[in-house]
Amino acid sequence: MPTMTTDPASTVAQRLKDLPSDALSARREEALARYQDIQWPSMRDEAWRYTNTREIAATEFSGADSSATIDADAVAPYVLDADMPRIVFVDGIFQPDLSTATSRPGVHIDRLATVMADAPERLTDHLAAHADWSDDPACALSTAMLTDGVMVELDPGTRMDTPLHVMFLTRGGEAPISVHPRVLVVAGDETTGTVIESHVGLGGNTVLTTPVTELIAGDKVNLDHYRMVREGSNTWHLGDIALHQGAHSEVSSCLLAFDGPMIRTRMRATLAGEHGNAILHGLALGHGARHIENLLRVNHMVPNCRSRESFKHVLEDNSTAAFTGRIYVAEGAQKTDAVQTNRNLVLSPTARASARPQLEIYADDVKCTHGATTGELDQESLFYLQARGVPTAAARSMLVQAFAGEILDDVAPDSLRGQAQMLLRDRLPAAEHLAMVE
Amino acid sequence: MLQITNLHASIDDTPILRGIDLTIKDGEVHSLMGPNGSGKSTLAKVLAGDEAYEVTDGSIVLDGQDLLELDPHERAAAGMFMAFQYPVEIPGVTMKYFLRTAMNSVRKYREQEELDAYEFLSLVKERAAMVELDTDLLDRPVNGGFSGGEKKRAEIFQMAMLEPSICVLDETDSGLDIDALRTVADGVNKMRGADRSFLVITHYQRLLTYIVPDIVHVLVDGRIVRSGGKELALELEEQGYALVEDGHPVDA
Repeated sequence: MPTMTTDPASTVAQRLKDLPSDALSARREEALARYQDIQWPSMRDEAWRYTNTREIAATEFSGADSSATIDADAVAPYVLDADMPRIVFVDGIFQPDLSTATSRPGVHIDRLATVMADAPERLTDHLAAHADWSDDPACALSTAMLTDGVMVELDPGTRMDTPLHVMFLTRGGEAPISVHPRVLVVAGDETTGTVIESHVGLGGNTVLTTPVTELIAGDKVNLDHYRMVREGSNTWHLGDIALHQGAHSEVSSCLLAFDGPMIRTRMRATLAGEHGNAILHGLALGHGARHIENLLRVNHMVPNCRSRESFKHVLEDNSTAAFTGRIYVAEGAQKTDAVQTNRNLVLSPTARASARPQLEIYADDVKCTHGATTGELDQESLFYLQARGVPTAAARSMLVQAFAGEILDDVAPDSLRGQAQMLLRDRLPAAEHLAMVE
Repeated sequence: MLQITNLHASIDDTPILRGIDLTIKDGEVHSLMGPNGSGKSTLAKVLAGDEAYEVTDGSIVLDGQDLLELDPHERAAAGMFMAFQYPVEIPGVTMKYFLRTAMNSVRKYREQEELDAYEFLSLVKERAAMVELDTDLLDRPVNGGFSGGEKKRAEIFQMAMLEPSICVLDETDSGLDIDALRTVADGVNKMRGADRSFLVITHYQRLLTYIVPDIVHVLVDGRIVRSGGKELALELEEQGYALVEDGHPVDA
């Protein structure tokens, strides 16, 4: 056991004292108290059965250097499309010179720090109201340390012309740092938009990141959200995505987990208005000793809603993946139509996948299905590719591309889909044999 | 030239091929006929290198190269092409992407320059026209949702792209209507040439009206029991495989 001179939670309390007092102070303090209470659970805790947080608990994190800046050149490789409006944070610090997104009538894009200071009433109903920090140390910590991030607010009837790209880059320093990226999207009735997050680690410093995104959709909203994870080699990524949907809304969130030693994501959708449709997708690549955990929960609170969950894990080497998916159907939420699938492609004898589907249903006229599969590559398909001249390693990689393709094909923004396809290709064995992605 | 000598192969310890001798010279078209279960498809898969089958004896030599020493992708690069009886569907990878990768791999192995995007697409257009294949299909997943005819045409199209020296067609006629059969046969005929040979495996004589073979072999119970000219196919059509099933191997 490492000897600890300081209790990490008290370090957080000290850091919190340095934060400005504002409309959110009370919520932050409450979250801090909660964080101190629950701490980092051991693997005996049911929710943490698959993720070992001992090292996180034993590490003392400081905040980032508030003067952190970065060259545009260092950011350029992660920009999806030069014309796509973006907001850039480095080690949690907003970078005005690298950010290009601006508000326009009906589409308000602001820093959370600004809104907290100038118009906190815009936040009170939404911020930290949907991502549940009562039972999760990462989310509680994130809420306790909430100082900045991005708020997108769409006035009823408006449409975002292009996706917004929010880039959270981390570089860290000699001492471990923690960052708490935050995105809040409040989409009024009859709005349409797309928000893409990238979490990019630059290098191998020790970082804890706890990104929390809340997407609140009114009635007849069409909202797409993507989270691309490309963390550094020593970054623990423990994140939350929470959707809250009104009637006739279609909201999707897609997690693309490519890099980082530990990527744990809680994704929760609450269908609060009839005829809502929640689409939760995820693709995670396991390499080396990477640990992936996805915890999903869909709450069908009212009748006539639909949810579709599809998560895929590709596991090589000694990587592990755990999937927990709970479908909750409230009393009276009749005609619920919920489908959940988790597919694991296990490519190495030492990789491990586990799946826990959970149904909690209090209505009698519902259609809820779940399916979890764990398998290897299809030998017949492999032989077909080989017989056409594709070397074995490349043929295997191509079948991984095929497996992932079912998630990536649904990624709507071309530049993001293209980037994801390239990242996938580059991470596969024998990539030099694979044709470039067009 | 493809030389198969005393080839024995089994699956799960059950012998299927029991001593096949077959030589196909450059430019020749041979047909292999035989009743169900005689080992026709097994021979095709063994030639292509399917590891589900174990070769227990004999040799396969293509243009002086021992094919049994080569992996399936190396055999493809060395000039072996097998058109599958049941081409697999691979959702998630487009036909074009797959073919581009296959072409590049084969060309790299043959120490040829890789094709650039323009050259590749022009070749695609030209070869797709040979088998009247709609190039829109190439943006779809590999064989994904193709009709029976489209699948077979796509196989012959791939064959045309990869320019093999020996083409093995495993019951390419199965499931095809007469028009599709004619189109596929036309594609094959356009590819015939002095440096390319064919082994056309079929249960029925029908295909051989359109792809006229130089030599017809009859496979029964894992052995070639009779070989002859193209008229042998007609004879079989009239009299059925009873003609040969009781007979003894001609070349044995």
